[in-house]
Amino acid sequence: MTQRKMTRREFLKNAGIAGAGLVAAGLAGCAAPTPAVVKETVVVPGTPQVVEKVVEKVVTAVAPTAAPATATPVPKPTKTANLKLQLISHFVAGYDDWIKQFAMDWGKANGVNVTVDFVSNLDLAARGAAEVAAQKGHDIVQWDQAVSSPFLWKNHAVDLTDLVKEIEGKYGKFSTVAQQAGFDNATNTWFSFPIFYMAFPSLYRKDLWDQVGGFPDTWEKVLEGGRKLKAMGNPLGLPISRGSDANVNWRGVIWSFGGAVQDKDQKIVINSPAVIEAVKFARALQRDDDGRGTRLG
Amino acid sequence: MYQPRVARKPYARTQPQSVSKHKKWTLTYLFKRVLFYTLVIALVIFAALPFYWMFITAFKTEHDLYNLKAIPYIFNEPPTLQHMDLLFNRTAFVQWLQNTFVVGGLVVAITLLIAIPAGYALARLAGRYSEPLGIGMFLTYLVPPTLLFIPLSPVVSRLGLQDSLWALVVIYPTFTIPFCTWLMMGFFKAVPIEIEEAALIDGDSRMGALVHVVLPVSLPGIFTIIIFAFTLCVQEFVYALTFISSTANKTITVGVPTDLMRGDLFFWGSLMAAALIAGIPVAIVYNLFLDRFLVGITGGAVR
Repeated sequence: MTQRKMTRREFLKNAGIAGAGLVAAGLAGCAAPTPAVVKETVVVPGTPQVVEKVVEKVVTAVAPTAAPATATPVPKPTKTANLKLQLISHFVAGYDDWIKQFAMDWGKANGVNVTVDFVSNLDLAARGAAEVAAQKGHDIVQWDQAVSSPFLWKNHAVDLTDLVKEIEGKYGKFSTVAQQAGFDNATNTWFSFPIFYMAFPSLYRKDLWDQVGGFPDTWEKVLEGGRKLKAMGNPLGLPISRGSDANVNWRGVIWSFGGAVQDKDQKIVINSPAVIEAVKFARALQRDDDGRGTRLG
Repeated sequence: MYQPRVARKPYARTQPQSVSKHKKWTLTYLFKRVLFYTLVIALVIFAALPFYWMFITAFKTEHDLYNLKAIPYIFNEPPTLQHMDLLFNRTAFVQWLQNTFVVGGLVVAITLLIAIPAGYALARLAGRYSEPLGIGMFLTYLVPPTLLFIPLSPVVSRLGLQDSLWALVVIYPTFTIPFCTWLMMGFFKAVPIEIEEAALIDGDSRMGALVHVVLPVSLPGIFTIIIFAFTLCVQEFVYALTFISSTANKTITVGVPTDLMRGDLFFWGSLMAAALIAGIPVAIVYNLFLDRFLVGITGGAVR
């Protein structure tokens, strides 16, 4: 007896999960008409500016045979259909339990054997390479663009253009960030379905900052205000670590000083006076060299 | 001839030069002992500190762990079992531990079955080809799994072993057998051929001589490859990551980072507890068979 595998398109369409689960988180952000990758809050000449940070994550449907999508009507899943999902283990552990139960319940209601596996985001690339080499594995794979580009796997993914168009027809165009994550300009097709886009705005306590000069719209003001706040017993907190949050954060600082890791021609330009200034600023934020440091961390 | 020698001895002892020599010897002796024990203590600290660190982190409260003003080497707050609770009650750690030991046991058995006869054949039967064959086998061990997992993926897929512990049972011997064969080859070469020939003269077959004579004197070498192969299986990561995807089939090395390293959030207490629990049995086995293990390593190194 052969078991029929359910495609991720059937899963998304028939389950309604597209509207409620995997995709819902991304629609609000992705459907914004003209989203900004970097938001400059205030530009003050001669001083570095505060920027907002973004990360993007996408879902890629891996096709074992890399077969192109067809326009035929989607059949109803049979009782023997199987669907394997690989999701990234969430930093909120309870989410994994919830999404797994959600998918299992959907499977039970629709007669589909659903399997949900989890993997650490840093291990995505190795798992992807193994499944592509084997031409076998999961039907839906959640990808993290901040860790490894989904473009590496686009030749092995099902064309999702019709699904994206359908969603865009209902909720509006996908954002630029979403297109950068899932749209292949070479073939004019969507090879992945972006599910969410997350801005990283810095948060601050208005009651405290009002006491030291108000909203810090430049990094210089963050430093000055931070020193005063530290003296008041409320030091700032910015992550310095190997994690993606810290990288996103400090890239914003580098950009604010006019530096960059890489230029538009893909040339590495991190060794520049602007980046050195940014590092000096970061050091001043972290240390008490002049006795006035904020000692973040 | 004898008398003067006796006379010289007490005389020599009273000589200031000799006293100074004796003193020098004592100081040198003391210096050597101090140096020796300093090095031993440093080595013990170096070897034991990771275990101590794992132990103390596994039972520290979160607040104690992240308090920069606290002394990191002691409990600044009463110990807690919260990390153990997370590890045992909210992850499949026990299942992962069981999977790891099952795979390790089976791989050790396969390794013994193949590496012992292979090592014997290379030591006794391959003649002038034994050396290049042995080196060739050892070289295959040097190819890293980070390269091999890609070509091995289709193999595992065709065998229908994806997401099965049997995939690891089939793949792990690819790195345990080459090294263990090489080790056994060296060890069998160190066994005097005369005792084997004596068995053959007494009417034993080649296989009988191997089983009755060679293997009993090769036990240290066999213990060595058991420990070595088992340790390699317990610590392996890449194959376990790429061939296993479901939680129920994961081994420790993959299950623990998946559930306890979530994005950039690390559950340090539970991570250290998992590492400690997985490491203790191996450490105990190492210590129980340390003497035999050393004999095995040095025995194999003779030739």
